[in-house]
Amino acid sequence: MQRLLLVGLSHATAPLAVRERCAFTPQQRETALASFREKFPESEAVLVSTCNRVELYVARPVHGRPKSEEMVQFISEFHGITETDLRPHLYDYSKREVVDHLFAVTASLDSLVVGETQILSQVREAYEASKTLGLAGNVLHPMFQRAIAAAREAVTETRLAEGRRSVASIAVDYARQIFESFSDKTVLSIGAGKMSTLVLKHLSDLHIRKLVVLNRDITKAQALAEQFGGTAASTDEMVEHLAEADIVVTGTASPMPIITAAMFQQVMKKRRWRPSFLIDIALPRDVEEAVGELDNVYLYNIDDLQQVASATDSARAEAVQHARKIVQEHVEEFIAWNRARELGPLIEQLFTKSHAMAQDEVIRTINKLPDMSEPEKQHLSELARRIVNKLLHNPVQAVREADADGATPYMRALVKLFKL
Amino acid sequence: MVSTAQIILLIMAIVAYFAGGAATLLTVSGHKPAPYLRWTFMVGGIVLSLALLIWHISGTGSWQPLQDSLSALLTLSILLAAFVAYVQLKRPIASLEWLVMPVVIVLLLMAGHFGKTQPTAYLPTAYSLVHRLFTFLGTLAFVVAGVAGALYLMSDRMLRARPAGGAHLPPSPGKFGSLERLEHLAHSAVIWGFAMFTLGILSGISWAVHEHGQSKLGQAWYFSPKVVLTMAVWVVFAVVLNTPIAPRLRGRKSAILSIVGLLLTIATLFAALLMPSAGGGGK
Repeated sequence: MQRLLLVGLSHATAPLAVRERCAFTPQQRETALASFREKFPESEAVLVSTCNRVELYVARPVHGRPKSEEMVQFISEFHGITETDLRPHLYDYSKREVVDHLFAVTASLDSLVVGETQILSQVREAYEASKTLGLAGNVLHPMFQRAIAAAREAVTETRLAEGRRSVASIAVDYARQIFESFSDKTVLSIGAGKMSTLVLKHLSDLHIRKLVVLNRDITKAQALAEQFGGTAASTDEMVEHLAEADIVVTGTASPMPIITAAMFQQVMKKRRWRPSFLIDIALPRDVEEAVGELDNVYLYNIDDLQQVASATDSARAEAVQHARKIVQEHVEEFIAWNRARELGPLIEQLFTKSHAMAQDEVIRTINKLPDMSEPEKQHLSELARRIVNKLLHNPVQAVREADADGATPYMRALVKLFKL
Repeated sequence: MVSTAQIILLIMAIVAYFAGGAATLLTVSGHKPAPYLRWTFMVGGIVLSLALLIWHISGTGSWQPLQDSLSALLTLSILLAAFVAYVQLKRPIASLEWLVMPVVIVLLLMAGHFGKTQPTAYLPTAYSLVHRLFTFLGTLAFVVAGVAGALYLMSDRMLRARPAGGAHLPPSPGKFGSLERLEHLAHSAVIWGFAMFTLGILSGISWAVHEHGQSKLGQAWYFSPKVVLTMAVWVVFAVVLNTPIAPRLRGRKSAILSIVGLLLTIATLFAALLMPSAGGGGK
């Protein structure tokens, strides 16, 4: 039997500054999962890290490790954050709560922008990473598979994703509040990730004069630049391009800010203090917060844009309710399936053991009665089998019929009482 | 002298502008007044003011504009209202009405007051006509620059604001107009306004001292509140005008200076109207 646990933090519990300290890049996630496997070899784990949440899902043997305190310790040690600093921002769930939470998260019902579909691919990515490392086993593998299927259904069967304002479109609205015309504007993208691509797609619709894409991997920069008719350059030339750019989109995986206030002050001098619009969609942030305090600089990070986007959610309450219903049905089905999955072998074990004990006693009795005919022996054996079946029928039925929360104590009792 | 009938016409114009403002407020607050209601009131206000101006000028027996306080203030209010109507027709800036129309109403109220209390015509010399024409056009441009500066500051504040919930306010490009457009509007207004205001000042100085080098405004005319305030306006807008060569002043600083310039311009207008002995234009 396995116990499900979750420790995490999200936009609802932690400010951006804490979230960015706890975020895992794909490389960091790989390292963290490898270290987890070493520490807790009997457990399964999936680590979901997005700009809005960091969550560690664990399935471990009922009396095994890690305990939730060890999970908190694991995250805090990895990032070098004290547990005291981390604790106030964390939530921890167990058993069914974990399933409920994961399904809601994957369907974006727990997102800042309800209905955004990016979370679905981020959860899938996290699950794939664990699967590759062999950390998604009997419990987490089907749970994540089912959560992803439920999310897909919720998005396609409802109007959840309709009418919402994407972060990219809100960024463009801000740009239009700063600039009047875009035909004389230069856009600089630092980083060539998915989110940058989305924002650039919206910006390129404004018919900008020039687009420059900077990336550590120049081939990725070239690919993105070609997509929107821009040019690619190396990140070494960043300062020169910053001075030229009116709109800057940053989305790198750098653990430290790549644009500091001191640096940008010089950039603004070179720009003769022409307005500069910065969209920082990276986590951890690429642009120091103090940059936004400079004159004629307008800086927005992912939190700013998402919070504006979330304001559109209230209009879609009906779709959200419908999606919740779909997700809930999937949760119930998964719970029932999981219980049956865990229950089946246990019941089989119970019957096998009980029948074996009964047959042992039948054999012992037969040995004491040598004159017994073959039909009588068979009758005796059948009697023992029927008694066992009748004795076990009611307890087993009770376990089968118990709801998800009730079944677990019964199952635990069976294991203990019958030494299974 | 302004007649009672003319004052009634003036009040009707003010009421029309008020009604237009109320219709705008209804639209902004989500109510839907009858379509074109606010336009009807705004155009109605302009037409009534224009009718009053024509009526008043025709009564003076001369077609020269800006002959007295009433015609000067009416002209200024009509031009400002026409400017708002033009912008709202071409590419609307919702907040422009909220800022400018109260100024238009104040100008009409001033026209009513000073039209009755100071009906005497200005000195009918060629210099004074040029002086009045350019200073009033310059003033009009400076009001536009000041209003654009105020809109710039409001928009800038909104773009940077983080209200109680911690979130930025949703962007609404139509509400204030883009910062770039407002900056361009303010700067263009300052360029034109500065040129006209400077010509107005020069012709004013010429007029003040045009007879044998003696000022009609007294020996220390250059210390009169009107002249001091005028010079302050000129200096402030001279600084704003030079933002292209002092780019550190761009944006908020320039907008604040434009607002200061606007306030000084209004103070100058009051000084000119309230203290005629200090060069206010009375005989």
